[in-house]
Amino acid sequence: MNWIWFHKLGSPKWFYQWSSKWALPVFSMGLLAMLVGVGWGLGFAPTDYQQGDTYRIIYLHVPAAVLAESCYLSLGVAGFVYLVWQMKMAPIFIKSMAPIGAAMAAIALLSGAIWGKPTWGTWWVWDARLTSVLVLFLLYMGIIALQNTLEDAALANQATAIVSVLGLINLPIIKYSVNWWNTLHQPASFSLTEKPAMPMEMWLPLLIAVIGFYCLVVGLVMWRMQSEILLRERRTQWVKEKVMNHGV
Amino acid sequence: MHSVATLTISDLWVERGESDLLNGLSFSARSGDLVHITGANGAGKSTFFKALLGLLPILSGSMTFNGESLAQGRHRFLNNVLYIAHSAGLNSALSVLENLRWYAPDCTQDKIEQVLTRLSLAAFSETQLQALSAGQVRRVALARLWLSEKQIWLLDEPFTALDQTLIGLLEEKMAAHVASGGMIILASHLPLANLPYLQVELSP
Amino acid sequence: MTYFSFFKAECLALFYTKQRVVNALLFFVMVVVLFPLGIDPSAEFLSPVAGGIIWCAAALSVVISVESMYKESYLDGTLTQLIVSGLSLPWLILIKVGVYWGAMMLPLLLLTPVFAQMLFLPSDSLFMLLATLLLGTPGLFLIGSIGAALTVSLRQGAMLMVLLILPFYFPIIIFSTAAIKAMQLGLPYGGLLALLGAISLLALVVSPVMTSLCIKASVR
Repeated sequence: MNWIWFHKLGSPKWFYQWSSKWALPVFSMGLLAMLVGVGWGLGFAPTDYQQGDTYRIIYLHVPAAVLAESCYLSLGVAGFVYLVWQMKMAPIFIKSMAPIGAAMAAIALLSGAIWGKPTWGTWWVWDARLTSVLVLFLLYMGIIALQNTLEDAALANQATAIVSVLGLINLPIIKYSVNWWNTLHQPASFSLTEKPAMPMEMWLPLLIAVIGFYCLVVGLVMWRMQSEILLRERRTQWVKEKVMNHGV
Repeated sequence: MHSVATLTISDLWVERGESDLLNGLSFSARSGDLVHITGANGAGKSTFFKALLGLLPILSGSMTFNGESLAQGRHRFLNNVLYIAHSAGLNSALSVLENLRWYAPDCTQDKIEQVLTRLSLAAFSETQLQALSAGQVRRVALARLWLSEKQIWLLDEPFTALDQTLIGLLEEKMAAHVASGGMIILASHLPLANLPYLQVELSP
Repeated sequence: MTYFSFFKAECLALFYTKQRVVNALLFFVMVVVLFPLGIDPSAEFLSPVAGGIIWCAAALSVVISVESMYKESYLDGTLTQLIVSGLSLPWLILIKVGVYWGAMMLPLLLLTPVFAQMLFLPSDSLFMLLATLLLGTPGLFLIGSIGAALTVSLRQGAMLMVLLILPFYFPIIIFSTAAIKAMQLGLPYGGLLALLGAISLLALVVSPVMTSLCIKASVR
């Protein structure tokens, strides 16, 4: 097996140059897909026979909720990579990704509340899935708080990596435990592997929106990582040259 | 008598904040050696100890103990090491006697009291650490040298807050340790009066 | 230094600073008292939620008291001495957490029947409450130990520690109160107790290693 990509990924300089090429295309593609998916979903997809037009918020809610969990998964993986291989890029990734994940969890919570009011007649219920997204949001905030409080960079790297890994171990436990409440929430409306329960015209824009969100987040995190790389590698020759030649 | 031991440091660099320290430090010491590390404040004397003990990651270079890299066999090295740092490393809630029993559980009561008497601490053996003065705490920390069987002593500024008599006492103890096959690495900005030593100078 | 001499020194030090343990227990009492005062003192309200109140109070007092577990050793340099002692740091941590758990939980378990009575917990549930505390609190201490090590270098780390660690306590609190409720409703509760024990076991394996990583990163 060829591991060169893995070692390359560990080099901030290589990552900076590689991501400079890809961040803008990925981000624009994501933006486009998101606009198409959300616009289609909001404007043209058929009305739900039970929930009427209120269901349309899923085109925002579902992608945000999916991303909130995916981002956390990626944090956990990055934390593990850092603890095992001490790869320099991993803490940069964690620092850049945590606020994005927190924003996704917040969007999911807010849009869920807006959906809940007309559907269940209440802004908030302590149901299993809502609660686990809330806990996820709290975990994100804990990581951000830790990152901002610890002044020693090496310690902050180690600490956020450890909390990310622990959170990853804990996430299934939390999900399982909050399932002990009776859930009001409908079962998952979106799955890639199973045949969709909703009609194609509803499902397709949702898929596009989810893909759009993914690309958007990848583009954003690349940009955030680039500025973090410049900050952390400011003593190296290539950053000095870059700043001298192009400015920042 | 201790068995033969060697410690080899070569081309050591350590990253500390904004600057790199130690400038490729290299030296080699064996049992019976006293290595005196000198250098101005900030030259990296404490940093060197921390790198040696594995408290700080090293940037480049190698450290071997008895031919084995410290990166692999750190605990075999640590089993032979007694480290006296800037901070005393004593529990302030415990008494002098309890602190020393924690570090040297195999020593008899008589032996500990004898050492305390030599260091003029006999009157304080039941006193809690937090009630002692800085100089007294320092002496309690150094009392570990008399109670330990460890071969390698790493002493970071051991003469701080000691009067002349105690400096003499400590130098005498160090001479005896080296003579019995021990190894001492000592960082201090003071010159050593009565002992032969290898000098390693750190420049910032 | 040996494992046993470390254990003895930890016990002695905790005995000399026993006021801290007393403070943590008083904090527990304060939180419990807040509920009848702040919400409703009637038996109809308190009786079904008594187990939950005691669990929340216990979790809060554990997280607050564990926060300072490594702080003094960090400041006086004994933490450094533990790392370079040549002994295994995870085992030393396990000993320390064990001593803390014993010192705080034994009196808390003795206090629990008193407060269960004052909160009108049905007397047949008391045994269940004690069982969940016995099974679950080791997990609280072990997870808290990681947080304490993460924030040991901070002068004002308590708030951050609470923020960071409490989400990890949620499953333990949920399973414990669910087990008490299941018993009151006559439902099977064995699985819940097993889960509680499993979480504590998992924490027993993960926590000493993670704590020692955090301590080594903090002691520089």
